[in-house]
Amino acid sequence: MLDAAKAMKLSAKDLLELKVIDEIIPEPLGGAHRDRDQMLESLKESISKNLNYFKELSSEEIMNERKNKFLKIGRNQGFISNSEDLSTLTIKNNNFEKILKSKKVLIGSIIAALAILITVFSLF
Amino acid sequence: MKNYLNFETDIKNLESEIEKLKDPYNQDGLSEVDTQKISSTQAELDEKLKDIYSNLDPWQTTMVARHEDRPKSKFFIDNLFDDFISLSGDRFYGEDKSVLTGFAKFNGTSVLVIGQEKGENLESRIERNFGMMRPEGYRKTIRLMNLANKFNIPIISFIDTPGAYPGVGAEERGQAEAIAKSIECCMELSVPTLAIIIGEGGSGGAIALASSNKVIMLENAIYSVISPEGVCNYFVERSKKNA
Repeated sequence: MLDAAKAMKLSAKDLLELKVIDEIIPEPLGGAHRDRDQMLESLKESISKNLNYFKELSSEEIMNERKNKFLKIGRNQGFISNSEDLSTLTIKNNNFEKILKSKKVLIGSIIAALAILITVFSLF
Repeated sequence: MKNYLNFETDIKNLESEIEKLKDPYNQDGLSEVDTQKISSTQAELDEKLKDIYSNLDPWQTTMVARHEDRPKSKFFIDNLFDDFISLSGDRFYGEDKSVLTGFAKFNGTSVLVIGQEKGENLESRIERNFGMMRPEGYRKTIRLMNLANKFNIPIISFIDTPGAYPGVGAEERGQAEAIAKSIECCMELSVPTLAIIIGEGGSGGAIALASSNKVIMLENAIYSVISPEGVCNYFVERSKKNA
């Protein structure tokens, strides 16, 4: 059982190293059940700290931060050299805009061609 | 009566000694409380606790995370938040008692609190299904998370579950779908979300609510895809097949 538990890396310290979690709240001496009041105090502190941090962020920033956080997990364990580059993805509507723009150009050029054709026909 | 884990025998002995010293009428010959002895034993106890708890191996951590006396979600919700209004029902099937949800005030600001609750004693544990959520529980949290998102209210969830409930009824009602929808909902929210793993965080049952901006863990909590027992079972099965 110990080997299994060791191999799984389920403890808070290991997970913080792997960046699966963001923060560890220290427990009072001998586990949370030995001093519940102290546990409450440290939890309260941590919650208010984190809530204050998010107060200044807009909803889009919050969403992007969450997405990037999960995309980042395990990235530096693979073959990719620069993990920061891949994980800082934002919502991609650039491609869509490009197509839209190119369509505008396309439609514009078709109309111009048609106009030229009509003028050419009307001359005859 | 306190519960002790199997590596805590020294602590148990010291604590019972202190109890005896504090109650002089239990012993013959001692008529008043020997404060000096108590404080020295207490110091010894603290030393021992520090010694044991600073070097816990992962399996011991697992046992601490599952400790019977460990504070549960309900304790944290009752003591950290004011004006907790419990909301229940998923509007599809029914109410899941293994998860507590509701709006509350934290330092004066409204928050949505979600807490997976294991229960304190045997009756409440059975009632709470040992913290294993059914699909209706996940659908309840989805409903309330969407509601909180609409009103721009931050979400705080307390994770303490061995995993999602794998019963026949739960699977029939779409356990996997409910968990997947819950993860999807968590990722789409535009309000800040905090997940605090206070005991066990077991696989899908936990990640369904822990897909949040900040995942916070208590020092002796665990967070994994499967329980260590589950891993052991897999390997025993495999070695049997190969033999």
